[in-house]
Amino acid sequence: MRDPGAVPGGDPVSLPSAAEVEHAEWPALKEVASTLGLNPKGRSAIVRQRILDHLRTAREEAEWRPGKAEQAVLLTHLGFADAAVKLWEATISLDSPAPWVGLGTAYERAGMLEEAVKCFDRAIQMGDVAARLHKAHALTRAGAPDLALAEIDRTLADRPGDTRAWAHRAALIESTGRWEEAIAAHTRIADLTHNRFGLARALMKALRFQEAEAALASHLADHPEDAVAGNNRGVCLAKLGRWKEALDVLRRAAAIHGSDAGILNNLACVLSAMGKTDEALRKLRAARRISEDPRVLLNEAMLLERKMPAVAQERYARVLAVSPKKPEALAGKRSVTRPRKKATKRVVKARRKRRPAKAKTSPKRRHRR
Amino acid sequence: MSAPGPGTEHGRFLPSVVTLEESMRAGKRSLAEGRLGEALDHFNAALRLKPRYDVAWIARGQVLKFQGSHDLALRAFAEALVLKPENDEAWMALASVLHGMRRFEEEVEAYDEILKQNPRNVEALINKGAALHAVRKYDVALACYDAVLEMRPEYAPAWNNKGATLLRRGKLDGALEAFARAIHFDPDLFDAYVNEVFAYQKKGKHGEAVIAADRALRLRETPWLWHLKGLSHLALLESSLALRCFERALELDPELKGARGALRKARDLRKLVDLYRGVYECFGTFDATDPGCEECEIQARCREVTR
Repeated sequence: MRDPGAVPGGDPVSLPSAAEVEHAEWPALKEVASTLGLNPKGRSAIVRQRILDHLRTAREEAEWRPGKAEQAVLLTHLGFADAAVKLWEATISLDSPAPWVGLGTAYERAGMLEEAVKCFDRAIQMGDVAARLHKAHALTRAGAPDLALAEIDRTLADRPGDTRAWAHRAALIESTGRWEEAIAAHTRIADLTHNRFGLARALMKALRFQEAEAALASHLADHPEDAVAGNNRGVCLAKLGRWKEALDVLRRAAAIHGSDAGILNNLACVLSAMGKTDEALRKLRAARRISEDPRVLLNEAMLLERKMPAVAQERYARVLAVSPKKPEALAGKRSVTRPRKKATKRVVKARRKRRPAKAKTSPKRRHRR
Repeated sequence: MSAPGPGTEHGRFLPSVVTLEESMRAGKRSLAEGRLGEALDHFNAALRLKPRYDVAWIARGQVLKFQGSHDLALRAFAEALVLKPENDEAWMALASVLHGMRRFEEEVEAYDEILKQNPRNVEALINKGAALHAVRKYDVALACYDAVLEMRPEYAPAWNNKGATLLRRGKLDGALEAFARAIHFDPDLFDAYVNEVFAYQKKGKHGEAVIAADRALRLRETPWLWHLKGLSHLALLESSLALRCFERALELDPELKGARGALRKARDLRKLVDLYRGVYECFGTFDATDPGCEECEIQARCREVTR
């Protein structure tokens, strides 16, 4: 006689929702309790609580196990490109371009750029437009920026509002130093996303501080709490010589994000340029407490050079302990360790050189003349 | 005993950011792994490199606190605060040490310092409330909890603390409502169940007290909670159940105050009466309008003991 096989156990009992239990009438409540194997006797509130406790404790979370595709993604990101390639190959199907993109990325991580480009091409043939950007990335890495740019432009022809493609384009052009085009791409991104911060950064990199300042001012009008943008605007204003405005903007940024050593350092630079050395030193001290950044230490040392040469020397030594070949630190240390007489002369000379330049812009000086 | 503190000029060498960071990292690693002595050595090394480093002082204080050296920990946190008086973390740590030393008034002052800078600091507010509760300033404590609940109405510990304060002031209904809310938002909040037991017992509702005690015991078993549950069973004339509770309490803590006397009382009561609740967990909470109570097989007995 043939074995009829195992009798199916049936589906597991599905649990009612907490809301259903909360609103269930007494007969339904009793039935639910009995179905779940709980005691249905007692005051209704107690029976209801019993069921709710059961739902809370007995509802086991479904166990998640990564499939081949998930494992491949994890391995790609963790840097095990060879193992990821094998898994991606196992997930390839006729109708899905995603595994080809994954395989391409794994090849790219493994440095096999030609293979990567082939995989991305396959995904593009299957209709995945985003794969063009992956291909562009691989081509950039392979040293073919023009081909990469052509791929990005093809993507933009299909989807002119694709901010990711514009961002790729901007980054690629920036790396080649074509600032005008990069700024144009950033302008497009700013129009699409209504965020002008990226544009401002690009303008700053192109040393167009006037326009960068305007872009940052418009960004800050929408995001007044953005301390990073405030910091950048302060830098722009300082570069333009608008010291007082720079001071105001940086003070506001420092008030928003007081623990940012970079902001405090920039604030100190502006204060020092305005002749407020003591306040600048205080800010630098605060910045140093947050982070012993070589920039902060160097600025502090420079300000201390005349007043407290020993402390300045110690600051230079700290910078040199971290980066022994830092030219500013080496120069600073040399200047501090020079005999005092010579150093005084040097300072006097420097003053003499500087004075007429200051006098030109100082109304007080003009009046004296 | 703790390792020697930092600050000896003798052992100082050229400060290096990298070495400093390494020391801090190693210290934090040791602390996380429970190697307190090693952690202290690393933080001391960091402080030798940079004696005016508030983070290192706080870390050193934490280690000392774990080692039980409250005085030294207090000094370390104070040192951190001298360097950076607006440091929330240092104030919080200082307050926790003061709490450990039962210096509640000063603890409150520490929280006030935090709240001066950030009046919306929930942790400081709730801890301040607890410290004020300890010094019996219930009105101010309540104001703290209300401030927390205004910001975070779903914060179960604040409801529980508010309930405890109301309970102290004899406002039983308000307290019970607060505990119910705490349990609603966090069904595993042991303290709220225990407080519920106290409130129901104070109100003479022993049926409800037994239910709350059962739920608390499911989360954590403590001898004094068994004792409390036993007392409520005694009030419900369930001498066998009471007996079992006191026995369990004494099993967990043979020295438990009052448990032996209560056990004797339960034995004596059993000679006179011993009600049996069967499967009815809600015994002693009779409600004439409830459909479950209408069908109850031991309704008469339950009516008898329900107040």
